[in-house]
Amino acid sequence: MSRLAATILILMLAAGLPSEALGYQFELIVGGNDSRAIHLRVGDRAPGDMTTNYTDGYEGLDGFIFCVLLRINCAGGSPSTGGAVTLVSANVPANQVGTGAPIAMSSNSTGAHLDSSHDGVSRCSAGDVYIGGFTRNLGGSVAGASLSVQAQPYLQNGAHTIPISEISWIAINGGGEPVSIASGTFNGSLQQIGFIPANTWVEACMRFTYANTQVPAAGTYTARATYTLALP
Amino acid sequence: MTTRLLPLLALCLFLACPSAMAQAVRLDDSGTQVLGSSLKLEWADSIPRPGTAQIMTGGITVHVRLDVRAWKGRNVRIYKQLEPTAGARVLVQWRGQGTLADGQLREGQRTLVYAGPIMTDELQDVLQLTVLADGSRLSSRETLRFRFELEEAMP
Repeated sequence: MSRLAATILILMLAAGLPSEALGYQFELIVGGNDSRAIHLRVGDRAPGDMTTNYTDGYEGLDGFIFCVLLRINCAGGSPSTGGAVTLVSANVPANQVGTGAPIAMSSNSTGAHLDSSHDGVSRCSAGDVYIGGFTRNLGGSVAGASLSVQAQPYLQNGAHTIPISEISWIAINGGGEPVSIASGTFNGSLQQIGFIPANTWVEACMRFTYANTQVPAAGTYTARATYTLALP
Repeated sequence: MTTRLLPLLALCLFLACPSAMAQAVRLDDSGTQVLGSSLKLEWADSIPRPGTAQIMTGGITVHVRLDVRAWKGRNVRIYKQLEPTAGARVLVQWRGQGTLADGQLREGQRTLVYAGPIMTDELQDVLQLTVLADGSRLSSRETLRFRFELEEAMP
């Protein structure tokens, strides 16, 4: 009697056990285009970016501000580039040359080129240079992207030069995201000026100043600065 | 001797009468077909938006077939369960064709999808699943596992 009852119990327990083969499943996958991406806009917007935010960016070879867009592993190419180069300039009156009194520089960005690429809202004041970008990275395996700038060491006018360290900038919040882009002075070397955490949009307005401590020959002096956003 | 067997017999009676305890039984859904073995997720917003979750989303179709012949003529409740994930945070929403209730689940949860009498050998429905995942906690590959559990309704 005892043995029979135990047998019945074991059979009933076995019948109640679930089969591990039951249930359905599928895999979630993320394509390369969505697993990693970076975007950087410095200065004027690309033509295709005038009415649509977040679109591809800028590159050029002329002028003072060299705008760069790198967008890796995204549809549309790697990198994708476009847009005009933004020029930042200052005129130093003859009677003020070399006085050491800083002179505000002004960009040629106007209208929509001063707006955010994030939300299209007017962000920067006339004379400023917009800078903004984002990174995409799954799972937080990479903390974010490094933003850096490298300017040519001298402003040049033929054989005449002015050290690029005469030019500095402040990064200000134009009412958008918190500013995490540093203010600084060009030194001709690669300078890290910011960090964009993964899955974050960062933007600011840069306002440039000429220190005016030099007494160069009369003329127009130009240099180029290249901004780079790199995701390790 | 008889006294010593009483607890054992009581347990046997308890197990033999599931309606009395509403024990969940894992259903045979081996006839279920996932139309496509994988679901490709994309960012809900192509660009991060400040202050919002980083959501990835995608959809897939599942033809559900549940073998319920053992419960014909009985009132049951059927639950759908999403097993815990390896670390991903997901919300799965679905819409069917009426046999199973529409609903949603997070990882590790279960929800009621059917309540009533069983009149056929098999319950079938075609579910359109939408998966929303937290991109900041997602690896490049994750597997979602679902199962169905049945409980007999209390008499």
